[in-house]
Amino acid sequence: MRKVRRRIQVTEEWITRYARSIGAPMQTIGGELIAPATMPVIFWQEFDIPWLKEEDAWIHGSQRFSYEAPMTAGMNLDCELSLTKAETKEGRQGKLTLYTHNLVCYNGNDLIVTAETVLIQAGERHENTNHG
Amino acid sequence: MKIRITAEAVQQYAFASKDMAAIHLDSDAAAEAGYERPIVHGMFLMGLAQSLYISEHQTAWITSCAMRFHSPLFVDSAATFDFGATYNGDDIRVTVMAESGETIASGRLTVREGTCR
Repeated sequence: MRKVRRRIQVTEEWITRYARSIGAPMQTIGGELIAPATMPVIFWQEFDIPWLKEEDAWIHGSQRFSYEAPMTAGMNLDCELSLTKAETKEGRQGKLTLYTHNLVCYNGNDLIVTAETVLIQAGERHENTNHG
Repeated sequence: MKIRITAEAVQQYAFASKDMAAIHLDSDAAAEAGYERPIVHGMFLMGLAQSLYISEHQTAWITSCAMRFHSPLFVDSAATFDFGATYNGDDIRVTVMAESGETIASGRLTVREGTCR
């Protein structure tokens, strides 16, 4: 399995900028700003992900987020992104390769969120993305 | 709820998310990938879905959400977001449709009411 780890600081400014971009109202809990539920997907940009090449064209197949606690401003999250599955299927327009990823983020010892992302690439599986 | 998703909105999302993939922003790149126009980020649609729901339920905390992306939505076109109860009543069903009636994306939100301010 391929994995990358990164500590991610969730700031009020970052939450606000992302929330504005999707038209999300600001919410608080215990006086702290809550990140929109879909925000962890932009954590991907903070990782250097060796098995994804920038020049490759990906389509987002599906996305799931599951929270144990609200993600709030001021958290320092320890996040791990892993490629858990790569499978090739026959689609209407030829071969498709589906890459399933899991993102898990902890605040200290507390699990905050898990996310599953399936990216789809047309064509055969790339040698670089095979995993054991 | 019907929303027109403009190129400006997609560009703003691209900057905020740092997802600057050309297929969302550039007509030539979209054409090269086989699309007649640039396509909206799937995650922008999912983000809009949660925002629209929260706008109407401001004390709700989304404890989980999921979406499957079926077809591309072209930039500068309208999308209809439909919310409804699921059969078991615990989740909120979400469907995003193009003007043609084609389903672009579908999924669910699970919420806990009265949690946020």
